[in-house]
Amino acid sequence: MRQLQLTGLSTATERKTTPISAHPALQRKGPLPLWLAIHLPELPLEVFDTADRRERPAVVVEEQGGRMRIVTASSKARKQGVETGMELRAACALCRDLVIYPRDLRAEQCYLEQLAGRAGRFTPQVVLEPPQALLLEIGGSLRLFGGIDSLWQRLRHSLTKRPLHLRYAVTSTPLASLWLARSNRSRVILSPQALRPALGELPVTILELEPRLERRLHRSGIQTLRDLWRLPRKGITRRFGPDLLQTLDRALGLEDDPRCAYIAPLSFRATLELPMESREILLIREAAKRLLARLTRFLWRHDAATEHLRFGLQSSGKTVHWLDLQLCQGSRDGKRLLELFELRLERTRLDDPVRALWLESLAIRPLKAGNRSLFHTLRETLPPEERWYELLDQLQSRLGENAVFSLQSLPEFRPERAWCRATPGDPKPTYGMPRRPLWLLPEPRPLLLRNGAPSCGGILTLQEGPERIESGWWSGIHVRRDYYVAQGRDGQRLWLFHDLTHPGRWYLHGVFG
Amino acid sequence: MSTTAADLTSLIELEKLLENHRHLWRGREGITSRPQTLSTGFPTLDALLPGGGWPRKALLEMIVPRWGIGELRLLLPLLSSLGQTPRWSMWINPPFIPYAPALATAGVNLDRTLVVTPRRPATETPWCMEKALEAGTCALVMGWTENLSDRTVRRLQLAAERGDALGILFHRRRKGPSPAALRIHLHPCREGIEVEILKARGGWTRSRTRIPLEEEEMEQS
Repeated sequence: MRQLQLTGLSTATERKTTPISAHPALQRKGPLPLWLAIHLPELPLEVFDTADRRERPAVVVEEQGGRMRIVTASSKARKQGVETGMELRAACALCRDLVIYPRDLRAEQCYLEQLAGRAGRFTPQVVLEPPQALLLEIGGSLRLFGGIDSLWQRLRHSLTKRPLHLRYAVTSTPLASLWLARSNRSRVILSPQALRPALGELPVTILELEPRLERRLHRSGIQTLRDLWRLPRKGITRRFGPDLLQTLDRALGLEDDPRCAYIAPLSFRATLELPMESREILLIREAAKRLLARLTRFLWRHDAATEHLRFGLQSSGKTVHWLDLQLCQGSRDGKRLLELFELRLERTRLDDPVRALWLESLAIRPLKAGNRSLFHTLRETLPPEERWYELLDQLQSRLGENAVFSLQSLPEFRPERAWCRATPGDPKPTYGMPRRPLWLLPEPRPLLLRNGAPSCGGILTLQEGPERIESGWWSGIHVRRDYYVAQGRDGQRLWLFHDLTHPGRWYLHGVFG
Repeated sequence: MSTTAADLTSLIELEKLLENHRHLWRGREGITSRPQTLSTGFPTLDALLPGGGWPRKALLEMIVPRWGIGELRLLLPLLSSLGQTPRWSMWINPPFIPYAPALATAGVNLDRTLVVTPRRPATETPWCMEKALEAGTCALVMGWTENLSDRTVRRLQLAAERGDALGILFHRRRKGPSPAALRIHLHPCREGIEVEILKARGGWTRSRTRIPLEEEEMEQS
């Protein structure tokens, strides 16, 4: 077979061109880039840090194509025959006491970000490759840390205290490192020329192509990357699209593969000691005012606003009692934050005298500022949304977050489950039901019977009904009730039901307002 | 008798005061400015209230001997008409849970409804109501509480005027005179509810009317 000329630009016509990166103006000065890829095969399982997970066989499941399939299985589960991609039912049949966790993508992302933050000690360029990998550019750090082995030792040590399954690979391109790490071939390949033989054995599934394309490749007899490289470039582009060739060129270093570095979010932490140990609200308020002034200066400098604050009250000893302050919308207004802190402090009991005050700001985001006019007071110029968030923050700080909620109706026959609390402001679909009371009692109140009829301060006359509601047999909370509308004394219209599972028991469930 | 110059100037100032102060109403001229109102949805009640509806920027006291005789159904047309505006309706310390499916059927916009359940209702309900009324982002603030002092009620009244909101206070017991702009006592009756207006700013006599509140077949939303 004719030896193929590998060109830097993947075009349909074969041209002898030099790659862009070989242009003299763009020659890199300094050490060659070297990419370390870290793949965490059991990350979905490792984010659940419980004793159960370590002692018993555990799996993480996710809904794929309408069925629950195993995403990751622990080593104990694998010994019993459970594999990735298996259906949950099959796994439960193989293994009796399986611990099942639903996949938590947010926790995985947080964990990856944490690791990326720690890896930032070793290199300025850390790239997140969700769902389960990290890329570090270590070419520039080798000299400082004295070689790859020593760097790897220190990195491994500092990444995490928990035992973590890691797979790694080091090559001169990010894609090649990722592929090698994922396929569990831990190699260190320093020269770009040695990449081709190393990558040749990898199966085509490593490219993570569309299933249709993968099937076509399989049917054409292409199982590994080496088979792909043996084909003429024009042919590949015509049959399988130009992206495939571009990916391969990037993996070999013939094309540039720029990656966005992960930038850790800003954080702020400060502490102030009170002039004396005290429980006086005024002193604590003064300290809080100074700390907030520092925070607002920091936020102004970085053009940002904070959405989540934590105040820590430290008494003598190391323990710090944290008070959380969550805002609906980012703010850097010192006065407003101080007011919210005061409201929050009113709710707290101070058992020990406070020695020092801590302030931590966790969620710092870029500020979305609106336009304001120059010569008015702040209150008048605030747009209505901001005033609404201010009101919500005040109410939540004083009463607690659970005390403030919006309402949502659900499509359910069981009346007590046809509604739920919701976050204020989110648009939700509505489901109305005719002939329902405007007030619902939190718990159905049992009614006394007089002469066989229910009574609540006097015998009730049943006016409308019965409405039979029978539902929920699948979830264990089975409801079989006959609902009636009754007129009580004093003109109240009440909504009662007769519980058919316990005949003779009548309950009051709602009041027509 | 001749009037001196000093008397004249003081008379002129007195006139100015009487003309311009919005809380002074001169009976013989009648109501010069009609207060802005929101229709109640019931024509018989509209006819009784000054301005032809619920007052816009004021505090309304409703005395309801027992919850559930029809006080919410009386307010339903108001609640559903407020659903179109972007402002919020607040329910502070309600005696029971406002039932979402029933509100949805009646046309209330649940996306703009907020329920607040303080743990110490006696002290926190008036505070919440005041904050909500003066924020300007709420069109309607309803609070259920007892035994508020006149001073607190006056503060709520002023907050309602500043924030362009309608505040409704629900009581069980009837007290003496109160600084609220409108006071209504509800009595249960067979077909609906009987509304007795105890005090209305800009109105003359006490009046009573019966409002039928039949269960109409509401359209399913």
